[in-house]
Amino acid sequence: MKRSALLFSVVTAFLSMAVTCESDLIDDVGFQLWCGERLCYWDLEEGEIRKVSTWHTNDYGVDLVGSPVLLSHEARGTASSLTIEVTSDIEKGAMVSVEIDYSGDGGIDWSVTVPPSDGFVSRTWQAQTGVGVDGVFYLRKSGEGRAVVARLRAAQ
Amino acid sequence: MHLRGLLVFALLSCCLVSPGSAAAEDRTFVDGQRLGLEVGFGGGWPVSSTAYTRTLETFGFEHWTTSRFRFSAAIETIVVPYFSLLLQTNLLDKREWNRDSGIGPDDHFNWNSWTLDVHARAFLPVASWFRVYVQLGVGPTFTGTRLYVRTTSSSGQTRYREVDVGYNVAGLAGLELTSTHVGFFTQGGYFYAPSPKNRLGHRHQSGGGVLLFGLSAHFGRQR
Repeated sequence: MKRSALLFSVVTAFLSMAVTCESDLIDDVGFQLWCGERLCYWDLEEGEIRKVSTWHTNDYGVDLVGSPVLLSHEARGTASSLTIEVTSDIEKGAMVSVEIDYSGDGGIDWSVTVPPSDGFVSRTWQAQTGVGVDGVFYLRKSGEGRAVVARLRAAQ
Repeated sequence: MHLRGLLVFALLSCCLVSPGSAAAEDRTFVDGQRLGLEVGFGGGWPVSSTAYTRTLETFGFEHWTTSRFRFSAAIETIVVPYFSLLLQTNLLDKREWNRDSGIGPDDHFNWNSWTLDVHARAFLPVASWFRVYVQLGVGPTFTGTRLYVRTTSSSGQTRYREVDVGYNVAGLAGLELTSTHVGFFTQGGYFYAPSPKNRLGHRHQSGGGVLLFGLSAHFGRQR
């Protein structure tokens, strides 16, 4: 009985670790949860955003309205390297980028410009920088034009 | 592709009612019959990748299950010798997809498609207890979709249901062994059913190949 309990504990711990390892460092990766006019898990540092439907009426994305727009999200864990995945529909000239502040000191340690696209596409980048315990993710728009981001994942 | 299918159907129909083959036919199969019922079960060969499913993948969904189970039910009435009309319903595609939400339970999306068609059947009663047939059908496709996502501050998910109405065309061939009132049939063919459609205009093909086995009943038929 004790042996089976121990085995159960080990398996549970292993599965918990596995889940933790695969989990995302961003809470609302789909910009799905809105508290009124703002995103519940993202902070709007600058500019204007709007909730929009994407492929389904009730599957949302964030429309980065005008320019500049800056959203931030504190990392909910640490990672030595990251896979960044962005699903977006961005017009040429909108200039949308994903940035990582590794330690939350205000300096940008890694950034990538999301290329424009004709419709929604999903793109992936490897960020060797990783993120620390006080790390922050930024989603920035610095140009004019339509820019809707449907998903932003940061997974180890 | 569709034109070639129509041509094959036309040729088969001509063969079935040609004077040359009429001598081998047994009119007792149709004499006096007013109504037939059919219920079939079987499997399907769905189209795996479409613009619709690729869009789901773009938005982070991963395919979970595809049901290959197929079902059909039909009412048949013989309008003229060797030709009948059927009101037929078929269960077509049924799929489930999941996605990591990052804010609780995984998002879930599923759909299932049904058709409600009028089919024109041309059949050859080889004997009083056996016939072969081909049929063409057209009608609406109804696809019910369900999206389970968290969209409120409460921890639970909300279910969003939608119904997409499209069309379908079908070509089927089959054979039937029957006593006076009860029979067995097998039927195979292909459905083209471009439904459901998403907000971006991408459609799924919920049809594909089907092979069904079932029971039939005949009413008002005389020996």
